[in-house]
Amino acid sequence: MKLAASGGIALALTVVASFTTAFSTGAEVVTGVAIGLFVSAGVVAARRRSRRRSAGRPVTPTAGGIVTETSAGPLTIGFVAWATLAAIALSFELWNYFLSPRPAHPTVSYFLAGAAGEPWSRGILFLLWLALGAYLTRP
Amino acid sequence: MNDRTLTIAAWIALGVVFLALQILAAATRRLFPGVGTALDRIVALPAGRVVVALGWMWLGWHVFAR
Repeated sequence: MKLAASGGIALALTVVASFTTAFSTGAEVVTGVAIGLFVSAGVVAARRRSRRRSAGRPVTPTAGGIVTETSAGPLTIGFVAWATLAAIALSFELWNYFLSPRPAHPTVSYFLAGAAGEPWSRGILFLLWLALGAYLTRP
Repeated sequence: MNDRTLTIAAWIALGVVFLALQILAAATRRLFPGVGTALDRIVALPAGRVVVALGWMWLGWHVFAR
């Protein structure tokens, strides 16, 4: 029931968001509502995690059953690889952000603005963004 | 090749590396983590969860509102 209600709200927000444009009041309202719901869900999830912790139950799942070893091994090398890629991407983003002329050095925002240019693509991006938010607010 | 073309080529190269790592993770499920597993590891830490949540909020506001 809760899942159906959440899905309905997410779809309604997505439909509204897909017909808005950046720098408009409508876009600010629908994005603000989504962020407000995210913060509320995050607070509820944090309380549930806190209750579980005090009850001595595991707080986080085991990443889909994947082995989460802590010693240096292929899995650790994998995490280092992802961290390195993220650091390179972030550095490159900042490098381009501060270079001029701006059109000669496109940042991720340039690609995202292009991808969100049509209502259908904007709707898909908004739904993906909401899905990531739902993942982050898991209890 | 001008600056713009070089920059776009570099972004595409980073995207290709991202896809290659994700394919590697799918091919070697228990040996190499996917981006989801890496994110799971980050949000398992309270500070990591807060940082990722703030990043999520900034991303949405930046892309859809401003």
